[in-house]
Amino acid sequence: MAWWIWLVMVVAALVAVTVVTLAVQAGRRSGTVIAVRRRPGGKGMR
Amino acid sequence: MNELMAARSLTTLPVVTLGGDAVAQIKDTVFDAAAGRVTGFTLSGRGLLSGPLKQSLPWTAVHSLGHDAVMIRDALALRETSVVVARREAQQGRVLHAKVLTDEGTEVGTVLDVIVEGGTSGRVVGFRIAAGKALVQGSRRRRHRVYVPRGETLAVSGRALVIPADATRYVADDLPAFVARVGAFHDERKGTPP
Repeated sequence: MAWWIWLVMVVAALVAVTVVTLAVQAGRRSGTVIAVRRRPGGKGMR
Repeated sequence: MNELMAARSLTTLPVVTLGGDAVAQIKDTVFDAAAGRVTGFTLSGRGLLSGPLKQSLPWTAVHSLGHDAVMIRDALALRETSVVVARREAQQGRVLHAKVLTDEGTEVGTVLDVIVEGGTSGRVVGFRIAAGKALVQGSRRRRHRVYVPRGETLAVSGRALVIPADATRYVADDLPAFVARVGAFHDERKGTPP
């Protein structure tokens, strides 16, 4: 194969890995709101 | 009343020490359903590729919750994540997209966000919900989004949020109007004999 085909394949692979990594990180960092129940004087109570 | 903020907007806010160091950013907001107060936050790292942190921020360590940052005294205030929320609680207590029911058994919508008071209060004052037809007569094409005050007898879990039926009389379309409605709601409830 011509050298430039290898170059395109390597760049495409790098782009794919980067996109997947960023998507996974975005998912891990995305937040939500969680309701809990605490006993008076328990953890998290002032 | 301090500035009101949507809990979802707190995600990615930097956690900054009074010394000026940004040590983390907010991931999840955790609140006590019975007390109606924020009890802490889970955290993620500040770097582009950093994920969730093993440490969390209990509300007792918060100096002030601001519009642009959460201020803490120093990084020593951070604790193990289990202090703020256990893994099982985190899985079962997600309130976003939970059904909203009145204590009379009417489904009035689904939860879109939780409205908290900033500063040093951390009070949960209400909810932003996608209103169903039982609450607002609106267009079928666009779901009506409204704010409802938090009732004193609130029950909330990952499946359903229960509010007093009379809270639905104090819905507002935007935050400024909601502030006035919350005041009116609490004034009326104080005047109601038990």
